[in-house]
Amino acid sequence: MENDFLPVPELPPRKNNAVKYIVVGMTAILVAVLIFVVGVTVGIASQRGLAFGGASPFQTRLPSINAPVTASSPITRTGKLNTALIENVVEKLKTQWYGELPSDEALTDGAIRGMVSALGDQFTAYVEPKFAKMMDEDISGTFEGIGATLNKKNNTISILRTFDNSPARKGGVLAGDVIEAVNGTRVGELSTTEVAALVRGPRGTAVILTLRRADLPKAFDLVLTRDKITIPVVINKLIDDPAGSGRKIAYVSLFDFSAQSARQLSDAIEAMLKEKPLGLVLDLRNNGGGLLDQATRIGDLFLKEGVYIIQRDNNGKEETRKTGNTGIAQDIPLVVLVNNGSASASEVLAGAIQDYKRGILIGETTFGKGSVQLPQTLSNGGQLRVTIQRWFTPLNRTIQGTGITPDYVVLRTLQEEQAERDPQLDAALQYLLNGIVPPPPAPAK
Amino acid sequence: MMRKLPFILLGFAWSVFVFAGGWFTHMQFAPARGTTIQIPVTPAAAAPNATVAPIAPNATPGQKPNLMLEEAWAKVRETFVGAVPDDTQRNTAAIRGALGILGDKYTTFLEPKARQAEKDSYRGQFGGIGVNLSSNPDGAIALIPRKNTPAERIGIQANDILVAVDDWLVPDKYDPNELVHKVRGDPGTKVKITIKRGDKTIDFVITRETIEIPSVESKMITDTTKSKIHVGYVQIFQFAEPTAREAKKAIEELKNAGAKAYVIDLRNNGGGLVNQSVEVASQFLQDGLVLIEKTRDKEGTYPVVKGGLVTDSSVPVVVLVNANTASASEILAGALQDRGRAKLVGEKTFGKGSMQWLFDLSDGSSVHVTFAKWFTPSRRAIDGVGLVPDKVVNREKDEAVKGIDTQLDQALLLLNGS
Repeated sequence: MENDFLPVPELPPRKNNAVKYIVVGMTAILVAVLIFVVGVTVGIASQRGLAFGGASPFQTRLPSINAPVTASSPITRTGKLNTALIENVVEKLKTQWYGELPSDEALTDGAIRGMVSALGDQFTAYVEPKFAKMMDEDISGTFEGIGATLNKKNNTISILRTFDNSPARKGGVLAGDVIEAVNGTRVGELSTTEVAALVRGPRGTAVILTLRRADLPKAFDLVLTRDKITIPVVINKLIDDPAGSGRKIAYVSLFDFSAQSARQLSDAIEAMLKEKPLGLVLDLRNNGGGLLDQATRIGDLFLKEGVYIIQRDNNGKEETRKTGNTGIAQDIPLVVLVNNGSASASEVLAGAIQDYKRGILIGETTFGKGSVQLPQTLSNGGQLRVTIQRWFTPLNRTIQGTGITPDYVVLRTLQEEQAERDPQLDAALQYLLNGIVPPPPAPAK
Repeated sequence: MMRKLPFILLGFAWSVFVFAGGWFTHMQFAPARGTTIQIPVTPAAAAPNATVAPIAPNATPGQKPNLMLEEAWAKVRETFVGAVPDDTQRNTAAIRGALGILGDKYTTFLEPKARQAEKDSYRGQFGGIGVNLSSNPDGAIALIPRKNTPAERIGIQANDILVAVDDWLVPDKYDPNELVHKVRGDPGTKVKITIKRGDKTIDFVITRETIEIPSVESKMITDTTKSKIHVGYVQIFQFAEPTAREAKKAIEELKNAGAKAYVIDLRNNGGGLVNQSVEVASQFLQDGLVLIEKTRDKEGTYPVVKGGLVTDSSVPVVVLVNANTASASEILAGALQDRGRAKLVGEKTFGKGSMQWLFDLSDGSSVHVTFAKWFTPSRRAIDGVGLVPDKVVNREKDEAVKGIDTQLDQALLLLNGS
């Protein structure tokens, strides 16, 4: 791509950048999922042949609602870099710096990274050329990794979750482990996208993670063998009343909002409804999001006609998406389970359900990722992922940074998770079966 | 109300006074721990016999990063959903980002206000009102006027709480550099200080004067229970432009008053200007070297400044050091120890063995660039190692509260021949 600034709608060209586009509407939206994605989300989406039009990252099924993001917005914000100042500093380094001077490219990478950090938006990130290249290679070839999602907070990258039977799970990686290095490369200032690129690789190859764990004094290495990661998008089951009344509750968990999510979820719910369950539990815990279009179609299942989400860009331009009145589960009593790993499209869905009082939310406050990034390729091969829109719920509540607070907060500790105890699901069942409202959690000591 | 100070000056013992000192004391804006500074742009401050690396007037331009930055920023500016930082913030962030990849915490960028405060500190004086600031536990800023300053004369009292400067309300999260910048100004100009005292809010309009920042304090130790001989005690807080002159004056006065030995207290002295350290060393050493520097491609030496001698080698000297004794302080302590001129008493020193150029930039900001490592005359490496005292004495808890100083006591014992 040339140096010239190009308006958003033209970026990136669809022919060889389809995947980057996906990232926009996709899970990649959530830092966390993007990663483990390490082979899954991006991969799946790509395999499923998603193609996004050039006009809007989201324009797939609802073109009439979606105007191009910035159709003809002129460059309204100006400002020049003080190139003399920056050049002067670089010159001082070149003449005086004691150590071995990094390459111009490395200094440039550092400067761009610094500049981007001044935005104060953890999701607007710069991906260095070498990592951008690795991502490209990954996407064109294998979609294999270790089966873990990453999360970046306070400048540390940690494991958000691992998946059943994944190399990460089997190798002893735990949620909460902080990644210090991958194959000896310090993670330092890298973005999750870049760390993901380091972790990913062909099945059968080894990757060394240097991890720090809260209760261990020292960092340690784990050697994992990459594998193909397959995670079912939908898991559903009918749960019998533990009290033995014979009543049933339908339970369905949704892993992400990928291309087949809405159809699979719809099929699963439809099948379960035949058994006349008393209520439905929709489990969005650790669902990092995905395609907004899928999120809208899933909203259709539960909600009547109305505004589903409000999107705003930097010019204050507003777009809304609406749900229709066609859903198969508009009336069944509904509990949505959420936690800190519920992000992006999950928060859109949960927020709308809460706003319309269609169901109640149980669990923990959600991640707080209500924004969309547009990946843009730079002439040096690097990639700039810029937050171009923020999302708001139908009642105009902000998602970004604050997340969605459940109606009833019920916690689930790491220990409970490891012991396969699930107080959040238990609370949902009690609520649906017996109308029992969960007690507020004991204040933390 | 909780205030969080944006930065703490690297663990100085007086960090309570966080940015306080700068207003009148030596403490603040003393270079953060571990500063060894050369200022190439000020001839007066350049080291004598400087073997400093020359500044190439025209560096190889190489591939300019600017085009890439412009390109990246254009994309951000056009598409980012939120407010975009102004140009100054962005330039600063870009420079900090580039410097960040060097992985050297001493190669840093100072924004104009921080640079001004640093400049004042090295100059040893500034235009101000002579008030010290102290951050209370509740986050409020308490004022403590210094004796014989505009602040004291106009009636500011200790522990008045600062509310506003020239009607600028001090926010909960304030930048100490910005605050200092607002209070300081050219002598003769006026500043309005609004304070709270009890329930009352009072405005003071104060005319700024030149406020000195002493970097040396001295006294004669005459307590016969501690020392049989008169010992001259000289405390150096940092190495600023007037430091060598002040130290010389202090030592000469003590000498004339009958000092038979000296204690040079470099505890919590985070360093400063190299040439000042060399000059102070030259007050104790006849000739020879003070330090050796190695840049990336050459080696240089800093010899003793001829004619600077104040005390001859028959007069015993002890240097007090601790873990906050850094950089230019370690140059002085290391030279005197290496050359057998003084014994070191206290704790192992910080271990900052690199030197920085300080370059002023066009917009008032500046950049510190590590250009050399330095070594003691006997080629001991300091960086990351520090100096081990001849007599290790760790401070006991609560010494300040109890009013005792075991390290000084040990120094006096040594000077008395035990």
